[in-house]
Amino acid sequence: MTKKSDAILEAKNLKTYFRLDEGTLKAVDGVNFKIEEGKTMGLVGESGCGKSVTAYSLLKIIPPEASGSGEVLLRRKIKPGTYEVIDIMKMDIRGKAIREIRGKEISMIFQEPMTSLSPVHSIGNQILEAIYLHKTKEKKQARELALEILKKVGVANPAQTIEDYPHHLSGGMRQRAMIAMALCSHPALLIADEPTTSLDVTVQAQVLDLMKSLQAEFGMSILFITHDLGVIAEMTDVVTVMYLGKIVECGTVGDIFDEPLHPYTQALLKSIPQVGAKAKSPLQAIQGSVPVPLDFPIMCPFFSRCSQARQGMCDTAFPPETLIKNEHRVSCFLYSS
Amino acid sequence: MLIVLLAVSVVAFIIIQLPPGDYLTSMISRLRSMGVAFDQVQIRAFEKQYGLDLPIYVQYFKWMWNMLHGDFGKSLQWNAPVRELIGERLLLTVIISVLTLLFAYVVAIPIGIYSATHQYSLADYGFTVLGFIGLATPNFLLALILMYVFYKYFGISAGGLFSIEYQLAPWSMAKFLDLLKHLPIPIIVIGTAGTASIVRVMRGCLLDELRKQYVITARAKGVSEKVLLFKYPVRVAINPIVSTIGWTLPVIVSGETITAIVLNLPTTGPLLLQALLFEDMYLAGSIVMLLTFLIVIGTLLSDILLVWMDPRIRYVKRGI
Amino acid sequence: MPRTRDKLTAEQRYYLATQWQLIWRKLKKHKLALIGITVLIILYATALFCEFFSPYSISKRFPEYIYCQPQRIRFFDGKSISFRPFVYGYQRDRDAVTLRRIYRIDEDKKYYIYLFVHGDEYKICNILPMDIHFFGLKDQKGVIFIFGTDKLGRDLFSRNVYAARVSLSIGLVGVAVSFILGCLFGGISGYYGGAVDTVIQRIIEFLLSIPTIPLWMALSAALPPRWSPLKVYFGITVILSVIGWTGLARVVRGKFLELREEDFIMAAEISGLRKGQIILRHLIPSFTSYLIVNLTLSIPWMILGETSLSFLGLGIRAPAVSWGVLLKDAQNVRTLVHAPWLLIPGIFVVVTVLAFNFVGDGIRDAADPYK
Repeated sequence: MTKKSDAILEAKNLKTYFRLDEGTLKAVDGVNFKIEEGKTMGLVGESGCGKSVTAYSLLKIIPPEASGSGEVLLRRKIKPGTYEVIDIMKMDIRGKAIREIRGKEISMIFQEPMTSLSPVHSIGNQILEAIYLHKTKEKKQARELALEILKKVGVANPAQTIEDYPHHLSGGMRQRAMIAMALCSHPALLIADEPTTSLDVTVQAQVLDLMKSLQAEFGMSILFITHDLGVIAEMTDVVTVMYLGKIVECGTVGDIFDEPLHPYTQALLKSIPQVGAKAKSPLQAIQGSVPVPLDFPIMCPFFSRCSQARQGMCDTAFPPETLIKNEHRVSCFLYSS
Repeated sequence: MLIVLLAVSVVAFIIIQLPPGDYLTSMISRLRSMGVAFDQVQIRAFEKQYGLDLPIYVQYFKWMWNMLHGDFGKSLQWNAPVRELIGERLLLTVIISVLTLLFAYVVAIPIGIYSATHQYSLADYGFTVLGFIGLATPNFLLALILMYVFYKYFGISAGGLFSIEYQLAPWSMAKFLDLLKHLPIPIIVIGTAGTASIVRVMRGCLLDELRKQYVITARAKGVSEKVLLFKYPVRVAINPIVSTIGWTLPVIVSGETITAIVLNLPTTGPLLLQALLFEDMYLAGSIVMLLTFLIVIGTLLSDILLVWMDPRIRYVKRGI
Repeated sequence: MPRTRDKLTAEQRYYLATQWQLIWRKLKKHKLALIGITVLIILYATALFCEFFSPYSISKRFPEYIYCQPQRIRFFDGKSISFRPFVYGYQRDRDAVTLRRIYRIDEDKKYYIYLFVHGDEYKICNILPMDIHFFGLKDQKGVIFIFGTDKLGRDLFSRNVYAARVSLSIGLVGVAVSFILGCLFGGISGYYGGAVDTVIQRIIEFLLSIPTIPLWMALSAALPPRWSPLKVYFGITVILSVIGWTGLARVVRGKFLELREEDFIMAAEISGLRKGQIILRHLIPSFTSYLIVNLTLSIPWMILGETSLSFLGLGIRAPAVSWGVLLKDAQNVRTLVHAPWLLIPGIFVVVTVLAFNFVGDGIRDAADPYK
């Protein structure tokens, strides 16, 4: 018997460390979250907090000098009604098993579509590659599917676009092409790593609308990574806030925006320029900047910039995770008993 | 491109005129020292015959005009038309240069790919060391060492392109096979330096590309590592390699010249040296010019190849 | 907050190091580059004081020892170990069959090697007469040929060391000339752009299309036969630079063009710096490291060029010697078979070029800010 909304992906104690000459960089340091079927989870934080590395770790596409540990449990549908749970972290990165997950069960789209698409292959070639890998090897059928998916993402002239190269297209079109490429196999989870950050605001709105409608149509989950709180508010159901490789707060989008608990989350929300605020009032920036998590000592990661930090407590240990209500959790000494 | 060829011809002509005195005066003084006498009338007759009494720029135009008609002048040293002397030698130079070029790329590209994908492995270090030594060893030194080894331990003379019986024989299948038997050593000697630098370029380019975002996208799509390697980063990294043909070809032709002298190959190299030592201007200038001409053609072909291979450049050339 | 040196944490020291400190720090880790630097220092020091380091003068002949094989420096004579190295003398003989001269080791004649011995006279910088040599034999009857002798019975060790001076310095002089030409043309090309740039670029492409060695051969043949070896030396340098400047010009031009568009230059302009200040404080430090790498890698190229030319007989002229000139004696394979030590100058060339390549590579890696 399955619950109403079951977790399609669960990360347990996910860690990704980089061994550098200067020390160990703990990009992702013990991260736990669940993504539910059909829902969108937002992963938010400043640049350098480890959100992208977390996403890459889920599919085990981290660079060779990084090492990952922990569990990434994917609930995969074998037949309608039956599921199996597999741990992606246990898979061999060169093996066949993980290639069945990548691009098929879990697809990923990236921030910069110009560099994310191969410059020397046509759009059609790249989409067809995904189709040949996961859907069908039959040429005619594959081409039909490609044209269909391009149409679905809002490309005006799919037959022309299939022949084009990435540098022929505008930014928005490239991102649509990338979405088409990611969705042609109807994945259960789409990981979107800052997909609209490099786009104009109007194009951004179009792409976000597109993603929402496709999600509804395909019934897929989305892990939306961004530093833009406005996008979070619009797109997500659940929000996870990361700082320096650790999750500091998570909850529904309503909880986070109406009752932010962690000082970092509060500061983030305060720093959004308010429409209607007095003209000369200064922007509320968070003091200091994100430190490098190189051989970071055991303490609350936000200590150096926190206005409510308590010496002797916040700088001696990592705050434990406290469940406040329902799904709202926070890691802060202010709330631990 | 036409401008380049014109410029080359001017340079070649300057080269020809550079040595103080010309062939005629040195020939006369040489013959004189052997006891042959010349009087002024005979000297002036010679001058007129070889056009040496005309002002320089007229000599240049005369030379260009003749060349366009296929007449490259006469070698005063051999007393034969330059065209005949150069003919077969130039053909062999072309054959050796092209084959060496192919050899260099066919060997270097796989090694470069392997080195990049197995960075810091034992094989990578081994290839790097070999590559460094290959770059550091001058062609002629390698040729000398090989000749020494072959002569001392096998008693064979490793030089030359043909066995004695085929040297003056007309072309035939047998002669061609004999040529093939003798080709490996010159090609390896001339190609070492080129191969070594192409390996480094390939390795460097590929390492750059391997870290790029589109490789990660492909991996996230579930493409297998082997397919991924060749379809994406290698395919992109090959483009700068194609553009290296532009400077590899002159290096190979240049190396071929000096290696031919050491290995005593019947190509343009030894002929050029002789011509220079005897101030045989038409021969020397023509050789330099024709070699440059070859290189320019080769570079043009590689540019065309690059446009064909890289869609990004095609896009620019569309004029948008 | 006081920031004294010792109070800086590892992180702060990492971020506050100057560009050159960072480069040196990374270079130190590059073992091959360090070996290269050491080797080069030894070679250049020896070349600088070549008269001192060679046991004999460059033209001293030993007619009785033509094509004599190298002697081994020994410490053990079969009976006892000696602290002082020595060499055995030779017994001259003729091979019964080939009638060639052969030299048999004569263990009765032992000659000890001493440091700072008196020997042939020479002049430091052509002024100061000296006769102290770094090492040699005290016994005048003996001979020490560490690298054997050539066809005139001249000690090849001494000749190799003297040759080092010419071969190694030509690289430096040639690179200096190329540097000036390259910076000049590259700078003009990159700074003015437009038609000037196009013309200069075409010239460079054209020069690079000409096969180098044939061009050098032709130009060297044009050097008047009556010129002194010194004039020839500089003539060769100029000839080598004719092509040499193109590489540097391209780098300089490329960097000028690239950096002109860089955001940090625009930021400097906006913040009010004058053009001169921008060039000095921002442009030049950005590509100085590329310049250094290019120069370091051009030197071996020049050395190889001179060696090739001299090998063909078109380069340095007698009585001056360079490694290429010495290798010319090895042209004949039949001679080579009986006197393989004639190839030793080749080893020096390879080692020198390797050393420069290692150092250049090391600097390039160290200066790369993205590594």
